Amino acid sequence: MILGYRFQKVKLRISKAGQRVYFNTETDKDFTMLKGIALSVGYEGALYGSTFGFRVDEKEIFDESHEAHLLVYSNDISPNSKMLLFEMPVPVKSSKVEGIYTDSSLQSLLGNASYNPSGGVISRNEVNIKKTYVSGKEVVKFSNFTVDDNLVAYAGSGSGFGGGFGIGAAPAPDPAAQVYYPYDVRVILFLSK
Amino acid sequence: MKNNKFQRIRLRVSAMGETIRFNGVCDKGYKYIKGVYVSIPQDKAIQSATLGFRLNNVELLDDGHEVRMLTCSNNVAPNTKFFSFPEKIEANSGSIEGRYTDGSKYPLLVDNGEDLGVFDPGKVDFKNLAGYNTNPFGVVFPYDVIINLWLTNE
Amino acid sequence: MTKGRITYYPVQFIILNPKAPVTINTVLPNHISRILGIKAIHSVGIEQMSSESYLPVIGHLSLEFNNKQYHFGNLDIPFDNRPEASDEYLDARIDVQPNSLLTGNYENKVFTDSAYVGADGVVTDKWKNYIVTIYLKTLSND
Repeated sequence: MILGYRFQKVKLRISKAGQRVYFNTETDKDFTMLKGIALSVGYEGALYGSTFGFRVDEKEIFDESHEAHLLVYSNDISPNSKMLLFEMPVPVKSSKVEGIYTDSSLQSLLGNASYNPSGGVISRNEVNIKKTYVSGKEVVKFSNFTVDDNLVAYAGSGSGFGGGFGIGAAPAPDPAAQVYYPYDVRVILFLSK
Repeated sequence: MKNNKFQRIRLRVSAMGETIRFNGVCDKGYKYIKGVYVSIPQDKAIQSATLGFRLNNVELLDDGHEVRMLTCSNNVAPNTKFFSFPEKIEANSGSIEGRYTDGSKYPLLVDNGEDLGVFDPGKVDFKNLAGYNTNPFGVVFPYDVIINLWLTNE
Repeated sequence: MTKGRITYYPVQFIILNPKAPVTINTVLPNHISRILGIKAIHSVGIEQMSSESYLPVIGHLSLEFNNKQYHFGNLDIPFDNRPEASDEYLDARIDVQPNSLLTGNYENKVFTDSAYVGADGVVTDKWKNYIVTIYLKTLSND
């Protein structure tokens, strides 16, 4: 007997603050529908400001600036609801699936003063720091984008278990929200026949 | 005859990162397995724990399936606490094999930090990082895990 | 059967001054033919000014689609870093005109006293910029 569903998984390791990790893989050939997606992470503090872009067959489902925490579900939710289920399943057939996870990506935009004096819409070019997706090529594999001063201040000392928030003027953060590196992010794809 | 039964499998986890294999048989008299719910007494032990599950040699959940996707807190209504399999799966006294792995040894890394990472360019030697020699999330051992199987004729 | 596929399109905007309203004015991509859902959330920044994990209203957002022809309404934006934060989209059924503008205004409602912004309108060191994101669940025809 072969089941009509499968949870296909991709595992990413985030080793330092601001790291940007790209992956691509193929959907299992025995399944024809991508019905849902979820992310899983060892602790949720790492997610705020981190982003996750996702494409299937080079067509975008999530923009690179889609916040990762929107795809992670807490324990206060029924197990069958711990996924973002697509209202229209995405047809797949050994399809190319691509994703890009960027740690603390949005924090890096907070110090940017190049907008109107009061603020405003952040341009796509600034949000999507690098154009990662280029047809047929893996342009960025594991590169770290340049971390600006603001991000360093926010994300603390970076790699190592002692890392965490180190910003001077900010109130003491909740210890649960500290970011320790490395941590893993798992992408769970819900496939069906 | 009743149409539903909640069959329980109890495991005792004694140490960080322990893997427990178990097997058994679905109780007689029920055609289908409808769902599973994993009960763990400490929230912190849920992080990164995994459960693989096979029935009659068919993999229902692979060994890396996270327990957090199979459990929920008491804030969830009793009738929706189970993970329902996306399709009807025949039980019929079938043989059960499972593998539970505690995740608290490297709680920030899934699969207990086994370096299966496809995407680890820096090859961080995480096992030697200071924090991972301890148990930062404070899971107390031993603890018991109860795997509840929902068997039904419906 | 509906043609196309669902994509999630974010529009991020930054608030740089607690007392100055932010104007939203951006062209939606041509491939978006319909808006099916809308969600606006605080993304990052407020946590640097508050140790609370939940503030019910940090600002008011007004949104218009199709070159100001369709007013979606006014939304209260919370700051919600709790695990149980809602992930629901507000239902919408808006047919999007090609190359049309998404417009609107955002008015900040928190940290507006003199500790954060002086009488001259210049922000103090206590103020931290923050980002709000409007997520559009869209039907794309690309």
